[in-house]
Amino acid sequence: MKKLIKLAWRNIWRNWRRTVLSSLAVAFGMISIIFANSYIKGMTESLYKNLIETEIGHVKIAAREFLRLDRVIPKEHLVYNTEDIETDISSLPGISAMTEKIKFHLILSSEDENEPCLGIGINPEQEINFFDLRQHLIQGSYIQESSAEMLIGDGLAQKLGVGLGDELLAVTTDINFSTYALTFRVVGIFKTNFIFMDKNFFYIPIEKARELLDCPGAAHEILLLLENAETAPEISSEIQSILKENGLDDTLTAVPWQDNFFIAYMPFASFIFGGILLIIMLIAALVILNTMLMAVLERTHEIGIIKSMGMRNRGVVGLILIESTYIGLLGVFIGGSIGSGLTLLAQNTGLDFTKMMEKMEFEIAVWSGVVYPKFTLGILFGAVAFGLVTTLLAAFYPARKAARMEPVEALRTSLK
Amino acid sequence: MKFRKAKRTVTHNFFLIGLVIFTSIPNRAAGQELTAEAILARIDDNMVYESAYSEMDMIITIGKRVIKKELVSYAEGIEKSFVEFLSPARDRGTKMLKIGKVLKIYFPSAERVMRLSGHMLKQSMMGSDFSYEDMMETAEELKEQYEVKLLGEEVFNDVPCYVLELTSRDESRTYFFRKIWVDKEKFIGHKAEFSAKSGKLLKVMIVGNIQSFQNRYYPTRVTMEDKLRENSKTEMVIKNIRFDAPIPEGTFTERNLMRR
Repeated sequence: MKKLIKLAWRNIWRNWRRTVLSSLAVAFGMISIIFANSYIKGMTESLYKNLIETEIGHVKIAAREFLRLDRVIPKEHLVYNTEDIETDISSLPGISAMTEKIKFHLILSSEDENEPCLGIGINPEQEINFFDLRQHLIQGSYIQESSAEMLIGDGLAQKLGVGLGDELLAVTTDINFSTYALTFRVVGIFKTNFIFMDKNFFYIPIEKARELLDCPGAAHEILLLLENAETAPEISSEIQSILKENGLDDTLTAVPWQDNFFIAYMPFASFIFGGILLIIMLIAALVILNTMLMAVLERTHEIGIIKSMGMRNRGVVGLILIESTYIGLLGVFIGGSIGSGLTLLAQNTGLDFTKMMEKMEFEIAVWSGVVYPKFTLGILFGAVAFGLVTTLLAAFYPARKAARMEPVEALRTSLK
Repeated sequence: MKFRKAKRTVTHNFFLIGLVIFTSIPNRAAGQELTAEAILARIDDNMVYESAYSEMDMIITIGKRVIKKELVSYAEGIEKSFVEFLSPARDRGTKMLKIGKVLKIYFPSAERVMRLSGHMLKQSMMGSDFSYEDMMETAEELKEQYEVKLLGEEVFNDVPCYVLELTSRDESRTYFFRKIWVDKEKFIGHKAEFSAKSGKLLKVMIVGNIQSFQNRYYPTRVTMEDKLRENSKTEMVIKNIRFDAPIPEGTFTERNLMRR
């Protein structure tokens, strides 16, 4: 055995170009897998996070009709007396943050341009616990409660041709079908990299949104964050029974984040991503297999010689497998280092697809144009295991084939 | 107060929806066979007034909710009209000035004027089933923008009508098809259907309560249903209308728009 190991070591450096080439095939497979895996993980995890922070919380309380028609955002379906409801549910254990929101379509009008867009009325203080827009401001400052101030997406600001300090007229049809307008001053411009949000959203204090819609004390959504996200279904049903006690069960509903359409869809998406990953692995495996096959079959002549010198079949297979292990380890080392390095680099800088996605329509407002892959040691170990196992498997078949050849035949074949 | 003499012109009232509601001078047309173009031309011919002042109610019905808005409107020629909302409280003082293809709206709550043009005119007007554009179209434009075809004759609400089909020359127009039922005698549009290129019905407009004013017939009730809104319709009811009445000078100015 010791001899075989030594021999294998000598063999792989005898033709170092072939060794390096084979290792590079393994490395290539490793890099693809580490990167693809991290990319998918980063994308799905940030989607969960963004959806929960901006859209759904861990639990959302809203009018049933508002949720049913959520594609059109029907402003007339409100939760009334939000303060009472919030007081009622605040006694439930496990709630770490609460906020309320108003969402409605309206027209923003500058001197020269009008744009239909989506206004979000927020409680500036509470909103920070969910989605901290201060982190995304590229200009100006955060809005103050009850002020006629506005935060606007950078894409929307561009479309309207406005900057900090400019006034915009917000015009909407209120819940009683009157047309009403207020002016707001742009105090901050945000860039979240959520393509749809940056181009269509603005934020104003909820009091002003209520004034525009003529709905004092009401909101479209009450959002909760929980200490333990997994308890959302139980807490939702407790809230539902509180709503029932107050006779609000028919119109209002509490929805845990797990019931969100996109999140419920994620297992299916993961399945697809899994499929994509599998294809990448398959390609990587084929490259490794092909390289190893070549590397072994190339040496049929040499194998014929060592066999005619008396080495047994098992010895030949063992020798090749040990050589492959060396190659695999080398490839895994190269691929692991480069793959992890590249992925970590991308994780820090982000991959910006904003330009490419500009023209696309999004179902999810928080679909990010910048993807940050998420590298973990688990992904690295998985890829290492994949690299080694594939290399060994890839070498096993040609090794056996070579070993089984009659020495004379092997010698002759390669001389042709 | 000074009054300006308006030019006599083929016109249409901003709030009386020229495209299908064709005012008419009687004894002009009854009887003989007409081509589609001739019918449209006849309608156009008949839309003659210099100016109009009207008081009306806009009644929006959505499901069980009924919202009534009162407004007054001034129109002069084909180009100019001015509208002021009197009620409800949140709408009071909202004014609109239309000159040509540009609409300006004044909002008293913000004390600001918004200028609307282009695709923004497709938005619902003051929460109704009408879009701003619906209110601003003229028969003149209609002729330029659509191919017209006479489909046949039909009786609508006991009135014998010509049925016209208009097909847009421009692929991208929202109302790609329009079907219009035109009174064979009075040359008033009784009903209009607006459809998308796919054939999907977008809006239906029905005209009613046709009254005669001096030398013309005028519908005093127009109902529009936006088929994309659930259980929704908007009625415009004219309570009082005066044709060719003098209109105060300075009515169609931005200054008047911003007057408190």
